[in-house]
Amino acid sequence: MLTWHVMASALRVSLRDRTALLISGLFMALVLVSAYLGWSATANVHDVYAKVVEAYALKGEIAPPNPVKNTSPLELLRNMATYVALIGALSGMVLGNKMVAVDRQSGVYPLIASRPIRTIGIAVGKILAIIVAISSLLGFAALINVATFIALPDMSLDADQWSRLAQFYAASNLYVIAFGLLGAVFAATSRSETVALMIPMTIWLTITFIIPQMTANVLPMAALNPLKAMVAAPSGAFFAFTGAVLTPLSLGEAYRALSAILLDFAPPGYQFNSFISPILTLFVVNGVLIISMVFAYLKLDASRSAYND
Amino acid sequence: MSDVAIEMNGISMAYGDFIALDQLTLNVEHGQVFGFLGHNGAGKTTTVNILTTLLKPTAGQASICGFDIVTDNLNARRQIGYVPENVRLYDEMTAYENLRFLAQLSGVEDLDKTIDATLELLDCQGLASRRVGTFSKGQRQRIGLAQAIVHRPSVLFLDEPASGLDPLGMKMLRDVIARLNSELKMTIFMNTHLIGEVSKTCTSIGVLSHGKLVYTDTIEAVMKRFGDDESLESLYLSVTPDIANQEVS
Repeated sequence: MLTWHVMASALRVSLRDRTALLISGLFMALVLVSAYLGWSATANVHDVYAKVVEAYALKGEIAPPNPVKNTSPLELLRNMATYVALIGALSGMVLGNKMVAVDRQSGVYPLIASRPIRTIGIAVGKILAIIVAISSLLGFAALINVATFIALPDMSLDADQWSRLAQFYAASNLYVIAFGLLGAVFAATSRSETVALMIPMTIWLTITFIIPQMTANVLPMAALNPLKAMVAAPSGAFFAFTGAVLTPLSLGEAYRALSAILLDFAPPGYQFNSFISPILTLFVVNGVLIISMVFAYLKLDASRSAYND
Repeated sequence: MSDVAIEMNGISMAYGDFIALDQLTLNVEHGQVFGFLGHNGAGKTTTVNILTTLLKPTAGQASICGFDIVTDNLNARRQIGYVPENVRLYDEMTAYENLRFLAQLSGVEDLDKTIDATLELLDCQGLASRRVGTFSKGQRQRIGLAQAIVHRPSVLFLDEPASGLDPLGMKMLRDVIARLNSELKMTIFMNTHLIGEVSKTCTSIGVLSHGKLVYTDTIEAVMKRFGDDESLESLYLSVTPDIANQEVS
């Protein structure tokens, strides 16, 4: 029960944190823009196609099939995968960081730690808060996408596609929660509040831009548009080694691979070059981070928990 | 129940080679207002951190109302309230929201009623709906005190409670301590270096110097023997001679 109070308080405090609100708002704005662009582009194609059908009819001919229907509607979400990997991960990191840092920065942590609650209970409360906050954020994004699909003219999802949309959001949740936990772990272990945010940022940049260079030779700019740029690692001893060692740990690539497969974007014949599946990579990383978070709290000295800066 | 509220047997705390507390043995009985005097760096805050279970001692044993602070720390925590030297709460939340959260963690059931009664006791109902970030030092101190007593603990720890308060704030604090002690029967353990405050507030004192307890007695006995605040200061300087020499030189 006390764990729930810790969770509720962390959520309440994060709802009043301007940085967390701003970056989460930016993510939601991008989701809305993405939905509008998808709806607008499809509607335009439909308008043009209707005119083409009319013109063909006047000539007494049958128009070719609507090109929109030849593509998977889920492909319209290709931008979402990029937004989640970039701004979504950043939002998660800031949310996770703030939920833990606020107790240390405000000086409330000793007051919490002197209450009859186990340290592990505090850690679990924070982990739950991160999961709830990020799931809510992505839940809103999913609702917007569902509304877009319902509003799109002549485009409907079958049961398998609805299921894959749900799986895409589940994978996105796991990906963003991993960054939320990363932000929280460093907020609990660092002595400086600035460092607590700088280290996860560096790790995020490494996961997003540097590791894919060593596993699949994807240049940083290509990583910004990850779905189209998924390629196998070039041959050669260096890439064979880095690919084998780093791909199972390459969270960004695991997420991109899953997104591409679920949203019908994977290039023909594409396979994730790792001995463990991408979804397993996401689960393993989250598991490791949850354990790290509990240890970070167990090691946090409540009598000297205030940040140095 | 034993008469002893706070019991310390050979408590030591070392940070590497530095000994912050050296074999501290001390009992504080129920109903006392105990003034813990000492120079800066004497080890007063370390003692409070250990007794509030925030810090594990490197040696020795201590208990609060019979509950060991290491092996039975959850029960020990149920007995205590704690006001740190610089009271800091969530600035973006109102005083009421801060109190509600900390009261929930202490297992308070009738939250609204208990928080209202606590705020009334401290005469600060007007602060409930205001954001803590807008508070003055004195107002923070009151809400800090409110969070520490909202669950009606048996023992209240105050770390330099008068630090930074104006004379009015100090008088309010004295009155509140007296009421908590007499009406709610709380045992109070107060760290301070303000000798004048001790004679007005406490029923017994202990003097700590370089991590060692160098003197302890009831305030009655001290006043009978020395008479006034100035003499109390002489007592303090006499039991901590090296500090006196440092200050003279």
